[in-house]
Amino acid sequence: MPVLEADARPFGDVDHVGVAIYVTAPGFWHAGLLYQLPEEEPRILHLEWHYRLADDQAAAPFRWAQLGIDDANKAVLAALISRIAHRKPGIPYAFDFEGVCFNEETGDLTPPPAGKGLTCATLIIAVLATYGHQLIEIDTWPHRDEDADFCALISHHMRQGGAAEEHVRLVETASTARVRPTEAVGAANRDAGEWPVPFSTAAELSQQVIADLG
Amino acid sequence: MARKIRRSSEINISTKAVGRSTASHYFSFGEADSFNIWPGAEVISEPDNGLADDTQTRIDLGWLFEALHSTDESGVKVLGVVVDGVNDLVRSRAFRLLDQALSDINVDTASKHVLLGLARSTYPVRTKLTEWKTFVIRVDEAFRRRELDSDRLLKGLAS
Repeated sequence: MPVLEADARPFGDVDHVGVAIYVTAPGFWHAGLLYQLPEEEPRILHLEWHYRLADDQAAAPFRWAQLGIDDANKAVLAALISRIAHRKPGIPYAFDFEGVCFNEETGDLTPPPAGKGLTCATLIIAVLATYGHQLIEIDTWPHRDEDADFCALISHHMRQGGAAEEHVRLVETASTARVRPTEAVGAANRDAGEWPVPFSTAAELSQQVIADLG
Repeated sequence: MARKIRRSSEINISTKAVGRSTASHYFSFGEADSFNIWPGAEVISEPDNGLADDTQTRIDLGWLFEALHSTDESGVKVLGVVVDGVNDLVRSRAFRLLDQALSDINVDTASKHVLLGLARSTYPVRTKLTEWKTFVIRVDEAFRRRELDSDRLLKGLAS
């Protein structure tokens, strides 16, 4: 059963909040949160790169899927996401997202210590978690050899882009399991009654998302 | 209508009507530690909530009026206002005021969207709010009275 909506399905058909994803290169994906406020155009909040949180009008090449929570909570989440998008917190790119959720003083998604941060996939997880929705069972995620290669690639590009050396060093030496965009998107589409989603389920859904992307 | 200003031993508040509609709107005290809110009411200062300095901070409570008077039909439309209002109080660290708002809202008449919006938007700062758990319990009970799937709607908030 497909996870993603058909290519031709308008973004405006989203029920307040969904998830969005596209292929950036063979074997690489980029994901974000699709949201739509009443009487406004659909938009996508996504972490493009290190300290580059973007809020763009929803458009191709993104494809999208509905979010598995109930309609009332999705309406609330859309309002919350729009406020995050407006505040545009500075979010560093990193694979270790433990504790990167909110500042209990301000309720804001705030920059974490060096070495910690978010990816496009964990942005989805962190935003949901900030408001009480636990999407995945992170403890079930494995450390995969190919993720180490991806981490090295990311670290290289971060250095080239002038990222703080301490942050890059901590990113490349972190031993955090990586949540892939296709896994986050697949899990998010699952009915929230099954959240938090374990890796085994997310991995299967991830394969479906990859198949849907063609 | 006369403006009502009152000092309490716990909260030092002065009020100002901002005339957002043709009617006069005021902020007045009812029973001790409770208050009634009308649109346009503004709290000028709340010195016991850990505000960063002594300067008076203008806090607009109009959003709370919208929340208190919401219905399931209007609830989605006022969500943005409610979320903004909560965020303003959180940024101002007016946690006692936010506690009072959670305590005052009638969970049997307010929109389910507004109730969820209040519960979810305050979740990140719940440890700062003494009334938060009680509020969520009240919302849970209200949702059950309305025969809504409260377990699903409030999932994740009990932890």
